[in-house]
Amino acid sequence: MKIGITTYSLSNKDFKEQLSSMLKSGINPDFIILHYGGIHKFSKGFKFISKTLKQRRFKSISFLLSRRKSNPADISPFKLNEEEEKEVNQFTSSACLIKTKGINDISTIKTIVALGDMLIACNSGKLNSKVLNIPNVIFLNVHASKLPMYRGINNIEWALWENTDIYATIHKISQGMDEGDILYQKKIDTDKSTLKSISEYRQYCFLKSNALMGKALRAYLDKKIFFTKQEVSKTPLSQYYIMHPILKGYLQKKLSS
Amino acid sequence: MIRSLFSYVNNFSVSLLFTQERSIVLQDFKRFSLGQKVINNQTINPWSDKIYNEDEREQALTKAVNWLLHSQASMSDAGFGSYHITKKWTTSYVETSGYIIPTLLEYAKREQNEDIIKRMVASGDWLVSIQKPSGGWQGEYIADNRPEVVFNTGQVIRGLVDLYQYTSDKKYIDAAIKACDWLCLIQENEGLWKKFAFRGVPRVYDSYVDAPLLQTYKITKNELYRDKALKNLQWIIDNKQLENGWFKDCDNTIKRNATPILHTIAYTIDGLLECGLLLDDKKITNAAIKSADKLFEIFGKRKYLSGRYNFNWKGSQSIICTGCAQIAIIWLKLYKFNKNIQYLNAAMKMNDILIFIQDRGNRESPNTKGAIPGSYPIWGRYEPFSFPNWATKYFADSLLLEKECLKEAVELSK
Repeated sequence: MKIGITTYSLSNKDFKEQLSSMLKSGINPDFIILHYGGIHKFSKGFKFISKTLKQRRFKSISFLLSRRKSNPADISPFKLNEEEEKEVNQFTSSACLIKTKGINDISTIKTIVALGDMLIACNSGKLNSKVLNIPNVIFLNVHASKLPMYRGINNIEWALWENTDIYATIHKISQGMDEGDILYQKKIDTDKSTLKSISEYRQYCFLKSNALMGKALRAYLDKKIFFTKQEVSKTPLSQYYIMHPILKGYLQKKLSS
Repeated sequence: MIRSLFSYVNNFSVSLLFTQERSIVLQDFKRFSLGQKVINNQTINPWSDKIYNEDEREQALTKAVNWLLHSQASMSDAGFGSYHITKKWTTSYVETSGYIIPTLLEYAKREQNEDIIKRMVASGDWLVSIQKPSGGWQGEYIADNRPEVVFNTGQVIRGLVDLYQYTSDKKYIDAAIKACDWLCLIQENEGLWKKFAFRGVPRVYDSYVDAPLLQTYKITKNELYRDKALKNLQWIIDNKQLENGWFKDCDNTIKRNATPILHTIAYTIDGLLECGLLLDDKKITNAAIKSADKLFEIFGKRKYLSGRYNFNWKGSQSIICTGCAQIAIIWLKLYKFNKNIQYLNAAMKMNDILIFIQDRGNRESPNTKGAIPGSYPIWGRYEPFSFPNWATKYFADSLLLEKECLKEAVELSK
């Protein structure tokens, strides 16, 4: 079985953590799809700026710049150790790296058709139906919640708000949001005395969730675990949306107290 | 169509002639038409990154209440009118004067403001004084001197029941009983209202009449009121609600009945929800939840709600602010009912949009400052170029209820 992994940047934290867990489990991905990578990133940026200037939508630039904040992952204490970082960097420097324009681009589809049986989509955004309908290819994702609970966005925040346990689920990607078959699910042990902010919880839980990818894949390849269907609720309320900043503020207060 | 076009040209040209009016229209043009951004082929609306903190929400509520009080002070009676940026103040709107009473009474109780309470009592006295001999209240503005209308009568009952519960003055409940008797008398055998209905056609938003009937039943124990309300609710749920939650015969026009406005859709849902909760009836409550959840889903995907929806929930027309506030209220009521935090979260986001619309700067005249327009942008099809008092009423209701729900949610989360 050929296994690939996607990312928009080789220095992306989630990508590194998932790759590291795979390497630890003895799974060396056969290829890495780097979308929006290299020259394509610049050409996309150039196209955006020229279009913005033509349309005189200067606010769009300031809007984007205002959102370009420093990445908390850079200063997070919850990250790979030096040895793990080194192992990942060594692997990526010699890996089969395929640069494509975007995860849903035709070039990406062709690559997946030619190379893959299983693809771990890491921070790839929404995969469209053309990609998901590629026959005989499994697309996997890690979601930090006990699916089918907390499908959607800000899942960690919602679980913390409702005082429920945080889980990690490795599941197939399907058309619906976080609705695909479940491969592996595990509770993440959190310590209230050490985690004091939403950001810390997120960093910690993502690190722990990503670390399960290799273990789950190994068990699947060894035919120890199988996919099980999710009991997806039909109510729209089963999908969670971005938490309102006022609620986030109260949650932050609760965690730091 | 020619009349509508003429009206638009007239409104635009008149509003552009005068400084105050021009600034409102130009601000909407600047904020709405020029404020939209297109990023990665996605339209980002001008309100999408607007978040208001709790102090700003409180200020928005105060401004809305002050405008409602200014509206009352601008009338020659104790009712509430609306403001049109070219035609200026209307006379009092009887129906909405009725249902504004519970809003301001709630605010006055919270703020312990005796002056507002006195003004609500005056409003109630005025409504009692203009009750028709039949027991009903007239439709539309007082100056129109129209015959009594079922829906409008129901909304006046809301105000009087609330005043009775606060003051224990018998005249309010007597007037409400007289009105309920009349509503029961003219209801058709099938459970619908056709005679004295707006434009003579039965409509599902009369569920919003059933709720005050049930409120009066709770006080008087007159089972006829309950039975008549139940009959109407049954007619709505069994005959008019589709499987996807959309309602037939829901618009307040005949021509556009296929795509009802959000305002009347919200009346229908809110009426069902209020009745379901008052009677502790699962079937009725679930009928309301079915439609409310559909709108929740649409809001989650699109981040706003359109002015009208067809049978497939395909939206059209610009934002109808009243409907948005009403839907936020429904979600907040559902939060209180089942404690699902997603309802509160969505309602808070909806209120952010409405505060953005209300926030037109500090240089406004008291005739518009704090008021919510009928549509956004102000030249939208629903109540164009005007600030109907019911839009601001529901906005104030939504902020009041949001505060209560937020407090509850924070306590529960501890």
